[in-house]
Amino acid sequence: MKKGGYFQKKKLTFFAFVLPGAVFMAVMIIYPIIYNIVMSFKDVNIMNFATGDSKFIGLSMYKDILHDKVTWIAIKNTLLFTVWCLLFQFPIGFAMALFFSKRFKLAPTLRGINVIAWMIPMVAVAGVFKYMFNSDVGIVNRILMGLHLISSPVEWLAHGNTALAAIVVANIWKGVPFNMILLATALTTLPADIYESASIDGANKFQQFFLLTVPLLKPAIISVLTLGFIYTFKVFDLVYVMTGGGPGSATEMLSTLAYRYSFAEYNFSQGAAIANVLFVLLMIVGFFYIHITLKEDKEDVG
Amino acid sequence: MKKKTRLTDKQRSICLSITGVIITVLFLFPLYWMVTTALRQPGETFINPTFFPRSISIEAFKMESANGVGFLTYLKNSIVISAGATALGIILAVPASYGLARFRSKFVGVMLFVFLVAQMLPSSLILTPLFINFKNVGLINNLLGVILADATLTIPFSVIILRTYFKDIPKELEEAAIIDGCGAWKTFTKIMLPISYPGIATAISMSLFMSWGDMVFSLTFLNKENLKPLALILYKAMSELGVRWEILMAYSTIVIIPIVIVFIFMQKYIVSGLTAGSVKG
Repeated sequence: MKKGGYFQKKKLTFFAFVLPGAVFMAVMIIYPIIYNIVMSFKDVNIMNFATGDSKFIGLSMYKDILHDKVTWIAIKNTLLFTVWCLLFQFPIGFAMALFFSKRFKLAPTLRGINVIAWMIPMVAVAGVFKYMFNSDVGIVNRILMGLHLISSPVEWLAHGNTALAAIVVANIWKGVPFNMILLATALTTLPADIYESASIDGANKFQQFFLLTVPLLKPAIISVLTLGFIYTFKVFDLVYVMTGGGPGSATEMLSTLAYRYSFAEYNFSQGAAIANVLFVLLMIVGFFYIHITLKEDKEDVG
Repeated sequence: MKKKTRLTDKQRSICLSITGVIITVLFLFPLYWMVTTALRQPGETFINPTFFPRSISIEAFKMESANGVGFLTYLKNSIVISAGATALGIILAVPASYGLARFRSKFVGVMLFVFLVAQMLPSSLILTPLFINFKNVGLINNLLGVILADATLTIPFSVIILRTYFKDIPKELEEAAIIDGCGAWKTFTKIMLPISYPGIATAISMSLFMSWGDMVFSLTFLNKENLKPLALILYKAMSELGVRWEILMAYSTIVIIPIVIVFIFMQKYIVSGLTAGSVKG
């Protein structure tokens, strides 16, 4: 049989396999995306969403939100949140990946156990960190006071910067195992003999790490950082549960702002416009991720 | 080599194992704190806490209901939603990912692009359109609405994992079956499905986790008390119960127990499947 011959000819069979999933995606993902774009050019709200007689208002919703200070605060917060999370979760995850890739008896078991943090639902993560950062009974204040690092309890969630720090810490906790496991898997594929020859040539551990490990892991590092950015940038549950975007707008993210406009103020078009801003910003990194994934895919086939 | 100062391999392994256990205990401390808080006496959370509970109490797990809807109803809703979203996701994603892995067509690139975009989509983007359209077709306050919405999370994820999985299986098996006169569907169900069960196990576990833990869709589409799942109740409890931390941590513990159990049994598949789906070694 010629290479790929059968699978190339059977067009109808291909569609039989793919069509049900494709229809679902069209109805549940593509249609809502288009609907959202259309809605952001209209004035859909609680009064007219059922009847459908909303006016076309062109770009004025975007003009409004771009002149609104809260939009820019949300953009700034979302970026700050994402950058702080990546700055910590990537190095911590990398360090744990290096440690748990060493050969010792419990390494595979312990590495697996740590992954559980990644599987915990965000709402439960938010709950336990909200408790730990509670100013009166939270363990964080108690430990810090016990160590005499602070003299009186910090009201973590009541002030802008500390509230942001608290949600960043919670998100890092969930993000670290994701970084760890992907990097640890990539580490296991590195050939051992190049390290042997490097150490014979006199390279120390430090040089080996930066001149061998990092360049060899580059594809995995790029994947982890882009995926990490995407997952972090669209954060919703964590912020919604821990701070609700507050105090004030201090931890308001684009996702929580979109939710507030749509489902607390029932201004659906305003929520749609903010969600589209979130989508566009996310897609800047998203297209880069899709590009490398599809390129890798082509190389595989060829 | 200075042999004397070097640790033997066994000593080295023990030292590293001890360090590893310490790292794991420190890292997973929030989970320990969640479970042990749930087991403390009511009121113990207000006094300076000890590392171990002063005495074990299951008071917090009683889950009395204030509004006549019992804990079992919430549990049942969670099970219906996650089983439904997982089943729907697997039924649609498994054949689709096989088609995308094997067949050559100009649609493969387009569809792959759609699944990749869908995988990174923020829920907020489709939430409002789904709400309005669900409202019009009667899917608000209907578990089916949440199941359909959750499937928008599980399907792209499963397709991306499973497609990588199918691609790594050599084609020779199927080609032999096709020469023997098996149709495409029979080849798929009789040959491909049985050997790809580890990939499917990963997809099932992750789909269960995603739909079990989802809060935003049920928060938006359900406001009848008797339809709410546990993850949503956990959030509601946080605003209603306020400082009853041992009860809140008991809710959290109950939400994570099924995940921990599934994870323990499926760990091998989950870890390998996830890494295959996102990073190629």
